[in-house]
Amino acid sequence: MLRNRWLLGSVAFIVSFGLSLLLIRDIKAASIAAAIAVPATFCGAIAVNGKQRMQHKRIRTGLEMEIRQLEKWGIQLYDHLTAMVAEQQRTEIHINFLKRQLNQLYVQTAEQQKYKHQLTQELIALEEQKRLLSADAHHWETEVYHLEQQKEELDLCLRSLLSEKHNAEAEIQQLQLKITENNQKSQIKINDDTSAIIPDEWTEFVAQLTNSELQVLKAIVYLENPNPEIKKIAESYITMPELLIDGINERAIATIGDIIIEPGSVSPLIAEAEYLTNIKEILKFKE
Amino acid sequence: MAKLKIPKRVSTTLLSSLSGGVVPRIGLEHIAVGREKEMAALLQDLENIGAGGAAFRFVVGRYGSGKSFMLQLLRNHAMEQGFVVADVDLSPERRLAGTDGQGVATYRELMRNIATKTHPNGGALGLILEKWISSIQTQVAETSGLRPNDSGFDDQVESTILSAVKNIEGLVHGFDFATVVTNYWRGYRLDEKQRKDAALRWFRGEFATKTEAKTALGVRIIIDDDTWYDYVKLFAKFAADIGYKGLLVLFDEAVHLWKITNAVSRQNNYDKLLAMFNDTMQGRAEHLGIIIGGTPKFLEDPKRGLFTDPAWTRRTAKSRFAKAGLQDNSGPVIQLETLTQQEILQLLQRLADVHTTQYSSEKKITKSEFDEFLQEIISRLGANALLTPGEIVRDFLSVLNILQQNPEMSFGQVIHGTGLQLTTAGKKTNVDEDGEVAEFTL
Repeated sequence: MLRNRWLLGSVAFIVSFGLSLLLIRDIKAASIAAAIAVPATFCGAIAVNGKQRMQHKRIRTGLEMEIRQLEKWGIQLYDHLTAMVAEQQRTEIHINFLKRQLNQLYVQTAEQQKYKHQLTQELIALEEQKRLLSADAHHWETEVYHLEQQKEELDLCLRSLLSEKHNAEAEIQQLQLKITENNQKSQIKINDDTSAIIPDEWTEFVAQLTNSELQVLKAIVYLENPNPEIKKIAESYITMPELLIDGINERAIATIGDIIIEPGSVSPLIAEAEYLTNIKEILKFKE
Repeated sequence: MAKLKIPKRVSTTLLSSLSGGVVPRIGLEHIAVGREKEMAALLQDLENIGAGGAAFRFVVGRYGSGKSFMLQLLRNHAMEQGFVVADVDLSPERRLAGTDGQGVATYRELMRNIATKTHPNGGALGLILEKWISSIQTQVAETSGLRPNDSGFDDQVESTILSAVKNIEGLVHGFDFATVVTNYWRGYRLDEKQRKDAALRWFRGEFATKTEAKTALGVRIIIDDDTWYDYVKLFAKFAADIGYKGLLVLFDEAVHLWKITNAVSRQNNYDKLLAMFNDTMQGRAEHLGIIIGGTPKFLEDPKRGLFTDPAWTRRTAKSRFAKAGLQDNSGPVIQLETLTQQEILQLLQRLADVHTTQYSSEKKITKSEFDEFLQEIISRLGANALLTPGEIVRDFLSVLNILQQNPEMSFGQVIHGTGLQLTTAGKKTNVDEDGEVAEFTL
């Protein structure tokens, strides 16, 4: 290094001295010029040197980055490799499992074939039985034929007996007709009194009432203060008075189209005078 | 014309209510026409309520357009289908919220009008209570084997009532509530009518002070303005528990909420409505339907209407796609469209049928006579937009009554003669001082 500087200094001095001497022909001036040339050359050399060092540094950082990238790839490749190894192990386990299943299936198939063989043998036995049974069936068919012949004979007997019975019944009917005619004459008289006044829906309504509801209706119709009686009925059927009345009214709406007991009043009342007569009539008739 | 089958009791009420200009409570199905879509939407609501859901609707229409009729018809359908129903006409004294007992007054009216199929005119509270107690009684009889007259049966029933009430969700004062039920039960068992009645009065919200309730029943609470709606929800649950399909609550004349002059008080009422709406829409209430009947003003008045409340605007805004004659009935607001001529004709025919059945008269009105009457009515100025079914029905019934009373007159004579002054379209005899008639649009 030191030698290089010496060399550069002396070359610069000699060349500058030579050239100056050649141009101005004065040793003193040439010496001064040569002396000046030496530091100038050093300055130039330092500048060149600095620039070179910068370039080197840039190249070096570029290389370092590449090295880091390569190292990263190296790690990734290693990871891939381990994953592949794990995958391979799994696949091997799976293959083993499938092999085991295959073996089991072989065993099952063998069993099924054995079973099939058994079934064919049974089938043969059953066919043999069927043959025997059909022989039996033929025997029974002839038996049935004989029996049917017997039945026909008996039918003939029955028919003659039936015609005799018919004649007897006709006689009875004639007698009954006479009796009903007599009865109707008296019935019409009774019915005229009731059904003429009471429409069908009322009969239907009363017919639909449950036992408890019928008792409540009677209490309301016949008693001046029905409340204690209704309470008693409610208690025996484990319910409440309003519910019983509600039930009656619901049936009334369904059949007659109107409620018949006025709710909410101090003691329940029949809503309309016309309804009251209807109910009284029908209850009387029922009793 | 086939002879109708209506019990005389029903037809009498029907005709006298209609001639008086009020909506009848029974027999409406015999004269209902049109509004099939609206009714279908409401019936669908009933189905949802029966399945354990809840519903909230506004039925909106002008005075006499058939709102109340629609509500009553729905009420009857609901009773027929096995619902418990309760209805109330709101008024200055009966609001949804109030500091001076206006809220609980509404509740009282609801409880007085609580009705079922067999109690169509209200007063079914006792029945509901007894049905519930009876189910407890059966339960006790089944588990303990005791009969009503065995000793210890009453105590068992009481303790079962207590434990059953304990299991009711959302009941705040469970113990006091159970005490009132047991008071009813004891009153019934011991024939103490006063005690029974006091319990019923408590449920109807008729105790004004806590002291009064304490002396009569030994409970520390009463139903008041703040809690009444909770008890409505409770009754809905109660009704479902004892085998009804649910509770349908109808508030008519909601325009009275609009009429409240005090802004704070009005807002409180609108907030209560909002609470009800949210309860039903968010599934907090079960087996409960709430239907509100009101005029368009109640909803749409730019100064005081419900729509001015932003919370309501969003919830009740009509779809941009809905227009006259083509409306979306799944929204909370059902607008009643005017009846078509065909429907009015049908209505008149049914009225004539009912009238004939009622008076068993042989005189029949011919098709041409119906047309004549209809022409007479619609030929008047502005009738198309102004005349409401309510008015037409009243006019027609008066014609029928005159014919009935003067058999020698002919139909034509009656309607063209001087004897009868038909209601002039748009000019109502009972004009309200607040001027609802002004909302008629041409």
